[in-house]
Amino acid sequence: MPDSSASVTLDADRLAALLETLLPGSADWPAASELDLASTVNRRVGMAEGHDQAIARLLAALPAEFGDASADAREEVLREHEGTNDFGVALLVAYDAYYVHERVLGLLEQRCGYVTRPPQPEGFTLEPFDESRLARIREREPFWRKA
Amino acid sequence: MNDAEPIADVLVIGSGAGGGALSWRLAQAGVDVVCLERGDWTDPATYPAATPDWESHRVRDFHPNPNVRRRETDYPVDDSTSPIKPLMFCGVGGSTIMWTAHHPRFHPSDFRVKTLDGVADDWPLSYEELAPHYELNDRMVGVAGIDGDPAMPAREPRPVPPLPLGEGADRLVGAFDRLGYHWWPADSAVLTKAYDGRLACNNCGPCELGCTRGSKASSDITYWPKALDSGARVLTRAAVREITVDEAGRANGAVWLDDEGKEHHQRANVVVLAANGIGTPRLLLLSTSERFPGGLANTSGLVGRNLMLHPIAVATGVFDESVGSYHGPDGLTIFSQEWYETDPDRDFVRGYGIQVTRGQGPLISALGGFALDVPWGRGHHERFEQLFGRVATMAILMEDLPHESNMVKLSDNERDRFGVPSPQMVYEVDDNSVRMAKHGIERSSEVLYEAGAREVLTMDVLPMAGFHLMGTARMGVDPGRSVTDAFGRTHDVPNLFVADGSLFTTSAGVNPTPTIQALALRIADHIVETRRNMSVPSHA
Repeated sequence: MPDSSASVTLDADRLAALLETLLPGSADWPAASELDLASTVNRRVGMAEGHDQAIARLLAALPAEFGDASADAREEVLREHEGTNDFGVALLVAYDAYYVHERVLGLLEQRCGYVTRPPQPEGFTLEPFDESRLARIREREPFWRKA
Repeated sequence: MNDAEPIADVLVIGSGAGGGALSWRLAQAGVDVVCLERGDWTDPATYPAATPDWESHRVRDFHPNPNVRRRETDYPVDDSTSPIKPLMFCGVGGSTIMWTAHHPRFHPSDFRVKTLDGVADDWPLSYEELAPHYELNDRMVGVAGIDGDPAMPAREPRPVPPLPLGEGADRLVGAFDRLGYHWWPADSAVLTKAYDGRLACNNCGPCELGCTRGSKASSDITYWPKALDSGARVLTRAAVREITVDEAGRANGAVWLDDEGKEHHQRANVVVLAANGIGTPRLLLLSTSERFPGGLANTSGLVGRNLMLHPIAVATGVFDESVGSYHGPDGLTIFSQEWYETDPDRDFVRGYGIQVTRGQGPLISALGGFALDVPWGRGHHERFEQLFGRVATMAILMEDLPHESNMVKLSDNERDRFGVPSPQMVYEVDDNSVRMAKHGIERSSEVLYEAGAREVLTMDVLPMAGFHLMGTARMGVDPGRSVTDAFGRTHDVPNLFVADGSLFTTSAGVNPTPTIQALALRIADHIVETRRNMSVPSHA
């Protein structure tokens, strides 16, 4: 999927504060700011119709002091928008940028055993179905309803 | 208007599950078939599963909901009055491009709902009458599965063995056995061995993003190559606007719009609608005339009504360690039909099936996947790590009873890119389904805890679940209570047929695609047998 510029310019500071509130980081997982997620989002947000406008609306609806507020206060503000379509788009765009970042993929591999390469062309090897697993259920009499 | 194209024996509108099967069957019988398809051919080499950001596509240009995907070839669906959102795809192969490829059959009892349980209506045909076409379709598709299921009548051996269980389903098998509940490997339209020139599945996972290997039996790779070899033609990017009729009220073709909005008229002696349970009633309702002011084939007033969607509830078990849940065809492992039939001791009629699915990738998991409660903000990472790759989901697929108040109608608010009114879904989950969901979640939770889950997360109604679009041009014996007869022929227009999920009199508690395709094959055979005596239109 090629990167695409948004048709509206998003306020970089406010966007960064929004992303930091959504993905604040923890002991092992990086925060949005550590990955400069705001730049990624600004670059990718135009890829789906209407996403840039939705985030612009959400940013515009946040109070002027949002970026300077404490983590608690920012979280409280965002709770008021939870459930709206614009907030849903912001969450999707934030996670979409986060979970394709190289550093996050590395952590997924290391901490969750996740294979981060694309599913194709290699696919994965699974044990074939073992017919002996059916031994117990095969003992059951047919129980479908005659019509 | 351009109507220079030769008159076709049969015009098929829509190239998906039903349209593909029917077109092949007609063409190999020597019938001249033209199919109008709103979308394009898709190239499996361009499907996203081989790209680094494959999951991003799942929430954008490969989202199953056309209102999110917003491709040029999609039409918007007004879903403001439905808690369950529409999932469909416009392109050669239709929604089979994005399906998860469940391939179950209806039970014999599903065709006799009124007689057995006193609700809804009986179908105008029986399981036994449809069985030969189920068998033919299984061979064309290359169904993976195994014989001996005590929940179903015996049938011919499946062409290829069942899919691998994977670790999550493997745990559940033991739990089902210990509790004495039914389970069986899912019948799947995904190859486990090479078959008919197609490759076996390599367990990559996201079937709904299109299958790059051709292991999944989307109808663009099963039926259409054979149909084209037999002489059928497909016109792509042909957006049908209405079915036309002659002075005697017989269907004589369809008006379609090309990319520039230029009108064309494809003439035909027989017209078959296979545009899915939303697209077909939309076109019938758009096809008004002095003779048919309420829409074509709508004397009963039932075109668009009785929309059924299969509400889905989910119970997701969380295990202490990874069960590798993102490996293998994501929708397909095992199923249970322990609670499929009506039991008078329960507080609902009819029943449900349970499908055990695999987990999803990190992005979809973070966004909530199947009932995952991953918070945003503080706590996000900890909860994500507790859940990701450690889940097995039981999807409770409920028989949806028909109600005339659940319907597809023309939207007053939305139009497609040509200015043609969009369809609107008006739908409510009924009380029977609410009670069924509660029961299904309780039983599923019991199985998941027995399997060792440390917690179970649930959801009563999955919003993104409107893949099964049924009932909106229902079959029946009584023209006052149905739109078509047992062969999909509309009661009002003798040379107009329907061959998609719109036909379903009732929904059963299983995925509809094999039944759509079996019906389409049967309808094709009927057209071949009767077309010599069929009343055909004049083409002035």
